[in-house]
Amino acid sequence: MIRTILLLAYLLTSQLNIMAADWPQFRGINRDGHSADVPEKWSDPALVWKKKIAQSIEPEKKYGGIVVQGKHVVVTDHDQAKDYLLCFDKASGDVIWKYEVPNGKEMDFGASPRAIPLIHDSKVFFLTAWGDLHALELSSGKKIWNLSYVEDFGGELPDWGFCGSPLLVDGKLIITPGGKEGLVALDLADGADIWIAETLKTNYSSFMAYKIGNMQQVVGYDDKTLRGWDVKTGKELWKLPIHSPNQYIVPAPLLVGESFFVQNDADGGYLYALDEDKPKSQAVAENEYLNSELMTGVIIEDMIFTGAWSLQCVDAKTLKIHWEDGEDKAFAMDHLALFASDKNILIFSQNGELLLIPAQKDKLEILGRKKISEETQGLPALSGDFFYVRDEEHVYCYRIKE
Amino acid sequence: MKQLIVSGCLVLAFLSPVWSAENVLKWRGENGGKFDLSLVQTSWSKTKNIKWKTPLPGTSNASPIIVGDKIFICSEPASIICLDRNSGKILWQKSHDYLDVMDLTNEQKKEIAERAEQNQHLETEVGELESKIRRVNRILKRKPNDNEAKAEKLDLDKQIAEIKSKINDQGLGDIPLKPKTHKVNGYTSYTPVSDGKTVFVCSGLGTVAAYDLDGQRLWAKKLSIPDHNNWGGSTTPVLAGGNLIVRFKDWVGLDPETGQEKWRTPAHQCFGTPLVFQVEGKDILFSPKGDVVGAADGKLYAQGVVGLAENAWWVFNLPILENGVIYTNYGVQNDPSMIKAFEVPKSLNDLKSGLKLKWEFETERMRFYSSMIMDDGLLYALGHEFALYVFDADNGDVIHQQKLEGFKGTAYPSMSLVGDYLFVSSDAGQTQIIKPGKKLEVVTHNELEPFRSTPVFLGNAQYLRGYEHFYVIE
Repeated sequence: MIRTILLLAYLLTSQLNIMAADWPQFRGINRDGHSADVPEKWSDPALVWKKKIAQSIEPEKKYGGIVVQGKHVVVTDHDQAKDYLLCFDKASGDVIWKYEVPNGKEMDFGASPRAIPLIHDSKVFFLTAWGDLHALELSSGKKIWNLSYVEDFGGELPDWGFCGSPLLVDGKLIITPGGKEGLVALDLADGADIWIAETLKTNYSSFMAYKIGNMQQVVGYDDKTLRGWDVKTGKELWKLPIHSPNQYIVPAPLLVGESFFVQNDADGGYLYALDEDKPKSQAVAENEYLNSELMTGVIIEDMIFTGAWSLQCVDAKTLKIHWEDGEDKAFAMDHLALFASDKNILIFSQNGELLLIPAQKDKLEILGRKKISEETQGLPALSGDFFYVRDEEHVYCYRIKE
Repeated sequence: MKQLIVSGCLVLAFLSPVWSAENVLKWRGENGGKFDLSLVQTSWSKTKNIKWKTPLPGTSNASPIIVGDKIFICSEPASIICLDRNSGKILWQKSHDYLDVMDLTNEQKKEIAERAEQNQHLETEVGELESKIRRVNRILKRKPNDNEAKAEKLDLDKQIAEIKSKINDQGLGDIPLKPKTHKVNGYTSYTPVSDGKTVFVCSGLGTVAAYDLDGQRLWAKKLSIPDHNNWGGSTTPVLAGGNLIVRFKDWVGLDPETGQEKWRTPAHQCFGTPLVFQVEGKDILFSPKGDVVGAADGKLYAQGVVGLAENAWWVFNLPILENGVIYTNYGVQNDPSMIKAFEVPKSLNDLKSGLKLKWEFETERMRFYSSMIMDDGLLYALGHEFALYVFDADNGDVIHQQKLEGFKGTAYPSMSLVGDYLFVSSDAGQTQIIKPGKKLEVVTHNELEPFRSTPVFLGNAQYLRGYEHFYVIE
């Protein structure tokens, strides 16, 4: 490996005006699950406010999640008839606005929005399971523009809906309808396409942006490959065939030092070392037990924290498991949301428990835990001293620091 | 099309009578998932206690069946594979895709291939133009009065119409497009069935085929495509009342010798497989959706017996019959999930008023991909995320309820009872062996490659079809 190549998984959104305490997209400011707001020590979460959300006689399961910017806490919601984007006041929990679109159609595992909304400056972008993307004014919830992955870009609806959370990089909104117009960079102002790249049918994982070599790349999966594109032009730079017997991949591809770490629930985890600006085709390490189905891990120094119906601490170079816990009911779940600092990891389990652990490889230690919501696959948000979570019936704000 | 592999096997001059001890002729065997064996291995891994393993050309959710020394499995999109039970060698593989099952001359085949190629070429052109139209539409969305874009759109529309007029799909005759299917389901979730001499198999392309044990296709035909237009189907074919009964849309009774259609009865939508039971000596089908149909004549005795609407799709498994009672279950996350027990009536006359409900129980909301098991008066029901309910089979009282620990993935394979042990598997390749009873005791936890196919058991071995390999565990 050439030493001069600087490989930084730093965030392209860092050029944007985002306050440190915001959580504006999938996996936070830098899309890496890291936040300076992860507590240094455990303090029992104290409920600040709790609000009832959409109810219907026969509720459908809710996915999606929460994003936060400034005073706005924006939450995806769903019932049998509609999809909603709700905006709450961060301090009081009062509803600032409510945006709704009709849904009511049948989809396997329910038709709730899957993607996490994205806030940038004065706009919030909201994607439904059907591939309808809405750009709204953050202050008012008023629609600025909207488009359809299917109608406008010929995307083929995946069996479990469009799941990838929109990505913001280089001042463009990156969306993944899949197919001929598979990867599209949009102008934030009006949704006009800036460049378009062809892919296979879209997969279920969210796209990422990484600086590799001297180039900012958009990296993500289509149906059968992992690929990288030049964010400036949409030019495809490399592609790697991906073996996934289950034919779906949810965990996002992670850049770990000088390698890509990829996971799928049938095969496990693989590490592909970079050769200048692209990964080599042979994995340098693999471990079949890193078979995360839904969750994306976080990286702290030379450790990857992830899980496969368990919580795992993994060596980032060899993919050997330092420790794993699938006995604890909080960890024996499809999905754990991980929030990392250099020292600690705050874990929100699908079973509604919040836990704090130190990021250490010798053993798992639980610094504190508390059940704060009912079971949910909605992704929560961390902002300042507060933790926001949504289950099937409520949105909660907890103070998690003394 | 794949070339068939001609086996070196000799056709047996005479077939010995079929001993059930040497065969597993249908999904879950003769006793609804119960295998009266005692020497089956309870501990294995990819490298431990594997008698043999064979790489397979494609995946499938169908279970294996076993006829004597031969194992029959499916492979996507519409193939049957015969493996030697002793060596694991692939003896033959045949496809019953549309083109394979239609009686075509070489000329016709050539013409179809050429037309298909030409059409594909034209469709690619249309695809490119449609992409351009979408671009123009996006411009017009923002600038509705852009005359240049308007003109381009008109021109593109004209071009597309012109090319489309050249696409000749008439010449392809009855050959339909491939139906859609769910990624998890594919086209081969239909387990084959055999009478010991012939193997019958369906595919989600709407085809049915009969093969002898040496891979000679005796007949094949194309019926309608599955009635769930996005997810395909999985109703396993059944031999009963002298007929081969299949379902893609209607229940259809076929002559097993010739494939000739003998009767057809409208069905309610269902992914599950019918149970065969007897009334006055006649074979009757009970689908887990609640269709009650005579196997010999297709007579519809009752429909909607379990209380679901005609298009409710959340019915996946095979009901079981024990001591004159049929047990069935269904469910989904946003509709009641039910266990129901029905009494088998004494006379055909009674059957006309449906089946008498003995008891029912509403569980937490979940899907029941796995079929149930009954043992020693206890009924076991397994949800898709490993919630296990144990009922008193007599009255439906819940004896025990727990979420099984340590499982990843989804409980797609059906449970089996092998000797004294309950086998519970997940599509993550895990199997737990559990000592059943009023208190459950997990004996072993085993890991293998992913699979959705329900394993079968024979002699002292377990036969398991993984996504990529076939394993014999002993």
